[in-house]
Amino acid sequence: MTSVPDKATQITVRISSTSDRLRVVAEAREDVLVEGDAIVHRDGSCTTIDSTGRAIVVRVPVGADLVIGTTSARVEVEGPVGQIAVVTKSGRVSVADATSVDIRTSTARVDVGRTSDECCVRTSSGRVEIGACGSADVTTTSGRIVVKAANGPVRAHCVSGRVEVGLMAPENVAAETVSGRIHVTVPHGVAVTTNDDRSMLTAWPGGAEASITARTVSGRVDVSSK
Amino acid sequence: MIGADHPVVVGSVLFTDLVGFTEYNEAVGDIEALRVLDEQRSLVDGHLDGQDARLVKEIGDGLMIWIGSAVGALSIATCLLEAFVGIHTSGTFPLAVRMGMHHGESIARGDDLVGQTVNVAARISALAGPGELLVSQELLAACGSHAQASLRPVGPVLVKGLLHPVWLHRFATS
Repeated sequence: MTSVPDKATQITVRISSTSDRLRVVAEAREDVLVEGDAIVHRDGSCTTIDSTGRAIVVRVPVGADLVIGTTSARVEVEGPVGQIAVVTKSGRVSVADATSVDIRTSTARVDVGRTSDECCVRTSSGRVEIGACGSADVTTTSGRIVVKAANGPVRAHCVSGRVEVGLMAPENVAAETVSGRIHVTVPHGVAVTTNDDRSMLTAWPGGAEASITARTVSGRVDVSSK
Repeated sequence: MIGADHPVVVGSVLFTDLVGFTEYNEAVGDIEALRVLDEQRSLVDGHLDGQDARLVKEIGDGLMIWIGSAVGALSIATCLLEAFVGIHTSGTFPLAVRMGMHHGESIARGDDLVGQTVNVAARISALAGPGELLVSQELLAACGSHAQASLRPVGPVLVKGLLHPVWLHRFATS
């Protein structure tokens, strides 16, 4: 067990792990605590952890920024964290609550509870589910991405996969697919009109308007209200 | 120097990839797909012309490019990305491009290059999204204080055969 005292304002924890399981817990504390076999290096407010053991638990202060790289581990991030970036080939990634996320994977299953700011996800064929987010920038080749509630601008790109976005605020959407499907849902009461150039306009109660630009070769982009 | 036939070269390796090219080819046919590849090649050649850089090879719809300096590589790659995003956004080019770049030693094998720098650059490219350029920390370190591009840290990528993870940074056009 390694405890690294931290007093700086914004703490960053960088973790590279070949472990089977990585659990990060954000809790009321001021230091970074590592449970499991790892080499820990501290440089100012940045803690770098290299883990090779089978399982590792890292306890961090609430709001800490995380940068995580694994090959195929099960990654669980519990509690509210700041910006989080994850790169993994496969496995499973779950993030409960973050300011923003940037997750890149080939085939991992990704679950994000909520982000207040940007949610950026890149996957080849994994399944991604995001509860609520600010802006969303999501890309899949043949996987499936579900964004239940986006409250900021949305950029969705898929090749042959499927992207579903629930738009909760009058924000612009840029959707592009080659042969896949992108489906945008707007709340009941939002009017959707289609222009000659296939772009769409959403008119929200209260007078706000936003655009949905759709681009596809042989796929499908559609909008519906729930 | 590995040998006279296989000299070691130091530089940056850039991989580009057209996102969804196979599906696009399937949808529009070979002639249109060929036109897209020609247009891509023309754009890239224009950016490499007169630079300490060369197109190493075409790999399907992807390109492998070698650039002699890290500073030059960052400049060429960001300009190229902006050019691709520009023509894609305006509707004149049908597909988005993604890019990945790493810096280090490679071994020349005829006109080709091989080695871990090449392997890592390819792996980085696969992690980029449409309209994105990902670059390694090694490339930024080689740029020193000359790294002008607006980059954001993404995370470490673990690559087979490498003891330490490669840290990535993201450049995306606005």
